Amino acid sequence: MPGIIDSAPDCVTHVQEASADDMADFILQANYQDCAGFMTFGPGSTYGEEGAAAATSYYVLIGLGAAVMVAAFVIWVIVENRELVRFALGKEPTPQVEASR
Amino acid sequence: MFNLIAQVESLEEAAGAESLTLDSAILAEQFYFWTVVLMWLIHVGFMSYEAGVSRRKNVMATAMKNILTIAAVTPTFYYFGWWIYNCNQPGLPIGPNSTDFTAAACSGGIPWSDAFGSNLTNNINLIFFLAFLLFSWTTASIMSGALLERVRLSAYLLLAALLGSVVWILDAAWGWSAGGWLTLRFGFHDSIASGVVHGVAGAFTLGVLFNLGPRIGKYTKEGLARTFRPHNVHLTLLGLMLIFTGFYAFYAACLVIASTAFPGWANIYLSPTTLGSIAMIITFGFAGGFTGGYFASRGDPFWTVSGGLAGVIGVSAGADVYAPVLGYLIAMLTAVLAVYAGNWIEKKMRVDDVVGAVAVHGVSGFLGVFWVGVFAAGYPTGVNNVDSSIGGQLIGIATFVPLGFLSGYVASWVLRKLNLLRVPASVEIAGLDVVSYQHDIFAPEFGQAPDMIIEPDGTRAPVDQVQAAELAAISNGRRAPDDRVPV
Repeated sequence: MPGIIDSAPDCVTHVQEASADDMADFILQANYQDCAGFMTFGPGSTYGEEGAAAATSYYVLIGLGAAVMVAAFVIWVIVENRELVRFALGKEPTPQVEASR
Repeated sequence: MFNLIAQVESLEEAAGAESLTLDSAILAEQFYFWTVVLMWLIHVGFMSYEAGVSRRKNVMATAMKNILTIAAVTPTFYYFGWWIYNCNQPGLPIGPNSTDFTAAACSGGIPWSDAFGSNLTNNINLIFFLAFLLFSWTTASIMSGALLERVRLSAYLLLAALLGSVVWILDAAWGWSAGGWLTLRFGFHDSIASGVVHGVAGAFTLGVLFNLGPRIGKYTKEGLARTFRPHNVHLTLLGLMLIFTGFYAFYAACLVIASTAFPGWANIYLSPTTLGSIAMIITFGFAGGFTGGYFASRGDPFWTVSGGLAGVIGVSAGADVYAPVLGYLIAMLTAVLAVYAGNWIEKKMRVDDVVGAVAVHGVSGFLGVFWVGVFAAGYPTGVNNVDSSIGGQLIGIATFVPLGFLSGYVASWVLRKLNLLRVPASVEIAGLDVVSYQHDIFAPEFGQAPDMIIEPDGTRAPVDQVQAAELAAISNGRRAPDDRVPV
């Protein structure tokens, strides 16, 4: 049954049974015989000389990660500033973490 | 018949060579993997070290800062740090299609490169990236301790990302690579990163400290320095010993392993060396550094152990070629100078560097670069085989000092103007843990004695009283306000 998102590159094939050679080597190579960049959403069999062989979905993933990274920094600044101002104005602090956890 | 035998032998040799190459790649992959694992100890050490130095009301905030360094530097180094290192060695950025001989490396440094993810045809790029990433965490953490007890967490994380993922790796591209312009043109030689990591981090930290300002109460109205007592000196010393353990892995990871070529190891400039050479120098560096630190500080535990660190940093640049005794002597001299520099920075410059990072890393780092020009000139460095020289070393220092200092100063100046650099005075006095966690993170059964501060004349006074008096003096106009302290 396929996963919700089939992110395996096209180079990943599905051989019915492991060959005797593969079993002997302890690495089931047949499914990945034509693969280089086999990561999820990756470019698959192309080993880019120019370093720009990514598939479209991989570009999207990279962009999404960058956006989340920037958002994390912005949120760190905003949340901390809010806590500090609240304390400086004499309002009760809002402990977030108990020592026992 | 003979022809057939020759063909078979040739094929066997080719098969053997291929097998050896795969073995070599896997050996290198394992080697860097284990250095990465062991380099984690540096960060365990930084956390223990800084938590011990800080006062009890700031311990948890201090530890969180160290942990989140990893969260801030890792993605930023992935997105642009590795690109900076691999695509900026000639000085200006190049692309993978460039005719420069470093273009091949550049192609593996682009985030969407297929060599920058799981790839069956490349065992090295990711693990090599991780070794550099650990260097980046270390570089950012060097700044961390200096800013303790008054910097905002978010400001520190932004500065850590800048230092760890941009500034140091840019100077590494220029002077800590076989194709860097400082290496190619001037024979700049800094094999285990005295200046590239430590010196630049120290200079960056100094720039930040100018804008951050001292902790409230650090200096009397006459400008004399008070001493905040660490809450756990033993934890601090333990932390430094953990850092030292990790430093062996740091040193090892600075080498290139090439088991198919004699002698199997090269420094970062691809010149031959051995693992034993650098391990010997780091060990003698500790010995000399502890000795120098002990005598220069008259047995002060903090400066004795920091002297060991300063000593190692002082010998790092030439660790691939130094004789052991030369390393021992240089380390001792560097540690002595670091102790004096630390006291001068605190007492004369009136810069509140909580852990002495500017002296131990910055001063010792650039001294380490300088010592190579004095004691180890004449070693061919980089693919152009330019000899190491005092001129080349000074050009490197003249490049790295402003790069580090100005980057830190400008970035922290912007944060200060936005009022995002430092916590409000009331938070600083109450303790950083109070705001984010709870009044006392420690269990109540462990009673807390009041924090004491040591006055310049050696007497002790409760910190809270001293700081409250300082604030009142500023509020009443009896003392010039420090606009670096948001109230």
